[in-house]
Amino acid sequence: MKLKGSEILIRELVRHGTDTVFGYPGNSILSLYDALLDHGEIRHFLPADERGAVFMAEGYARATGKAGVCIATSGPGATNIVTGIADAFSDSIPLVAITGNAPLDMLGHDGFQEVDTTGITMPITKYNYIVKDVSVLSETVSEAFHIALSGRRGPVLIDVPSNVFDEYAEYETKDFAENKLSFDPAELKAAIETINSSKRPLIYAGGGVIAAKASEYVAELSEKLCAPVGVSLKGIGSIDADDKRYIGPGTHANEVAKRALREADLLISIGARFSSKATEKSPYSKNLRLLHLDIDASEIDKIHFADARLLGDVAITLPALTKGVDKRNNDWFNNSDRFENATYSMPFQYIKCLNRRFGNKQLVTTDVGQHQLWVANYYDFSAPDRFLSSCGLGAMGFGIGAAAGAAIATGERVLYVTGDGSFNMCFNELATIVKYNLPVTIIIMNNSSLGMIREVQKRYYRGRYTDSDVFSPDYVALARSFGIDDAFVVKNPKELERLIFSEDFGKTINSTRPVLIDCRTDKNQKIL
Amino acid sequence: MNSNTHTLSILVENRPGVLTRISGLFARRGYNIDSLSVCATEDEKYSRMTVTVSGNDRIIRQIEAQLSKQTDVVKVADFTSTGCVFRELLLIKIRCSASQRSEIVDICTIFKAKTLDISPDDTMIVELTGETGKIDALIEILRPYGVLEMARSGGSALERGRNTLKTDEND
Repeated sequence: MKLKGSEILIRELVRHGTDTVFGYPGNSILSLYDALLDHGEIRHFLPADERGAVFMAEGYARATGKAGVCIATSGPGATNIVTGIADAFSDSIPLVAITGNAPLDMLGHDGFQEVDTTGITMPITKYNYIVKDVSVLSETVSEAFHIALSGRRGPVLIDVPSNVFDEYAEYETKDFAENKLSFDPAELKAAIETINSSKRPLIYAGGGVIAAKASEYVAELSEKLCAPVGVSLKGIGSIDADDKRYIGPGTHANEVAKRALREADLLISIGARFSSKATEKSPYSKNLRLLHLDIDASEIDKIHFADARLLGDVAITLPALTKGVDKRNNDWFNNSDRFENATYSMPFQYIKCLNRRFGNKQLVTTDVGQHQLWVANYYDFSAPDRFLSSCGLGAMGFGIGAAAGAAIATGERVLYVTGDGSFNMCFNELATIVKYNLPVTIIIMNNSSLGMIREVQKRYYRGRYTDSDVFSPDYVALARSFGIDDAFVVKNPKELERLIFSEDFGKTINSTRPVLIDCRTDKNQKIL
Repeated sequence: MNSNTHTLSILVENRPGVLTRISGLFARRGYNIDSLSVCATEDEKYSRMTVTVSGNDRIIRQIEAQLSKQTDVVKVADFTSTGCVFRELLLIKIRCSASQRSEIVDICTIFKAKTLDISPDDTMIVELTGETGKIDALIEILRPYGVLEMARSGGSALERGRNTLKTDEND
């Protein structure tokens, strides 16, 4: 059966389980939009700009584990999704991005809204395509989903010259078999010996644990070894924060994690990649040995040399490892002082208050800056896929789109914690939240400054605060102008407590109505 | 760890952009490429890239791992210098008056180089294939005559013996 390219593409999306797409129409992608109208089985969401579309697709993917799909037109549409693609690449999020481009006979002519989209996105995608022949479109889409979701996951981009949408080809489907991931028994044996010969093993769980749905295996290994468990930012939720051996994320402010790292003689890293943020200024013993479990061979020995390695899917390797190691009966590490050094500062109290109200299984998105680390350090999560944050790339403006996408994907209320700097970058997406009546609770940690930048300037630039003050509008009036009537200002954590534990507020958050709370903090609060 | 030169032979899918993709990987990760060549293979589905890089063993292993996870990369092999044959091609244009011709031809004979062109404007083009060191040596010998221009290819390498980079061993 011969079908138009646009029809083939949509049928392939549906065949790969896509029920939701996020995109923005434009001239070179209009044929695809035209075909979408005939496909009620796919919901399309329109953001305020394409950054919103890609962050929504990321929120959708992060909350569900499915591939997020976003659509953009050529030129500025494509360049607007670049940050989100880089973010998905950095955090290993499965994403399929579809862009239109100039028609084939006009490619390379520098015409209206033409850029070299595949050239721009090559280093930030797992793979990308420009489909010049409609007869390979079906296979390309199928392979794109396969690549995005297999092994270490990541974004794939398909660039389609506009005429290809309108050309006809025989519609045939092709499936790509899931690569069977095994592991090397010799590596397993050496890994078991490495653990058994250690005295003070410390587990470090990363985003790979969550991607592999292997959280329970981390808890089992920890239990058998009586070993403390720390997490990377991306690994938050990979073990229940209430677990008695949890020592929190490896952030600068986490003294307990730092102490564990100093005292441990073996670090068991599971699906984590030692990003610069995780390892800078982390003091660890010179005798610390490293056992590295990862699905991506290129991460092993990349930053730190591994004394032992176990390459493979951690959902397979971890249970085998746990089975093989000797059981221990005594804990070597005492983590009871986890919050002893917390200052009970205003941000700490704000976050703890939110945590009490919304619980440990709440979907939370953040932007980037002090508030992100406040949430990472102080909000306790007891389930994976709940803390959605731009961990690797650190893209301000991520949180609002991600919150919208996660709310759409799950139907749950999402808590979006941001700062005034980040919120100012992308509050145009309030339009999206209101348009689709999405249950998002927006918390702005408002200190009228770029708090993190200010802190760095104070510490390393002798307090020379070059342009780190932010103009903060009246956020309540702003929210109301978008039709968000549930908009509030609180001056301190006590006021927040009174507000969010009130009966009226309870009714509001049980509805789908968006909420905004402007939480005033002072600009001298620290996190580093 | 010592820094050594390695010859990586990479079998890649013959897809658009594959050269950009692989050379971009080397560039953005800061690996030092000494030479790179791409060529056709016996199977039109694949191309072969031969890259000579310098680095310590850990860097070379990292490069191999980064290459291996690329969608377009079918196989990567790190050839040892004794286990493979390796050739580069040199075309070199030198100044050469009529009276110098015979001595230059003598040099060419010793190096098994070919004279490809002699022009009345006192120039000569010489061709040589060989390993890197041999090519370097000829260039040094010819330099006093005046090198006008040269074109030197990246290396091509094949492993000695029965081993191949083919995916199907029965081929």
